[in-house]
Amino acid sequence: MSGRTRGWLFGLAAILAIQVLRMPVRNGSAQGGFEAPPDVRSAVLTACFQCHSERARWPWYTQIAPVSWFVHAQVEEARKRLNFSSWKDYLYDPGTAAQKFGAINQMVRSDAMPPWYFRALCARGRLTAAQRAAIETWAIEGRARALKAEPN
Amino acid sequence: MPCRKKTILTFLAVAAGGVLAFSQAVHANGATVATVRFSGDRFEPAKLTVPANQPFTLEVTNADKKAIEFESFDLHRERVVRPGQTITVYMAPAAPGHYTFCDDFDHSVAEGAIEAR
Repeated sequence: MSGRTRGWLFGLAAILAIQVLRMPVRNGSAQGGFEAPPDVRSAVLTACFQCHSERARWPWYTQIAPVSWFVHAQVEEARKRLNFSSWKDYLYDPGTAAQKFGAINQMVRSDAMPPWYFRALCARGRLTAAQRAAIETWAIEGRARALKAEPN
Repeated sequence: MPCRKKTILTFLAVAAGGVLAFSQAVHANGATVATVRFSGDRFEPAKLTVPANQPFTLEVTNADKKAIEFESFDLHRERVVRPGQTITVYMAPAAPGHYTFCDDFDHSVAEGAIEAR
């Protein structure tokens, strides 16, 4: 057996071995409550909900390590930062709502969101210029409303 | 009115006023008000207890020289607090449990906790 073959076999064995460390695929309870104009809602549903909600889809490749480790870590972190399934809860505190709207505007405007690897893997992650503009306008207006309701 | 009776009535009036003033300090618009102060890289008190299943407000004062981001991932709250500023964070009724909060600008700061009972 050549060294190259041995290398491939070792790699294959390693990939099979790490499948033992599976990540639990889970979506929490979706409280819902996300409301926005239809064009914004449609864009957010397709481009953002995959990571920023409890309604994530888990295609087959997200079950295979080490891809699964990366995807799960990304979704966990994304949900911590902004979870559209908790949107109604954010609105309960105008100050928090203002910050969330501000962050959404900043992320979309700077092209930081959706992230490049999601756009590369998934066509749904690619927002058009019109969709970006709609989200930015909605976020700016939402932030202004929240700041008006929040005295400090 | 006998002097003793007058004294008792005065005492009762003052006591009633005190109780009323105290309850208004604790409950504003029907919601419990809890306070936390950030100073010297820590939250004080580090643990707060609030009634479960009832809305409450949390007044966060930043007595430090740097801005903090009061963040509770558990309770879905995120607020920047500038030095010297006091903010009011409105909390929805929370189920009985343990909820943490932190300074998201500086993760070396010890977490605080809210206990809903």
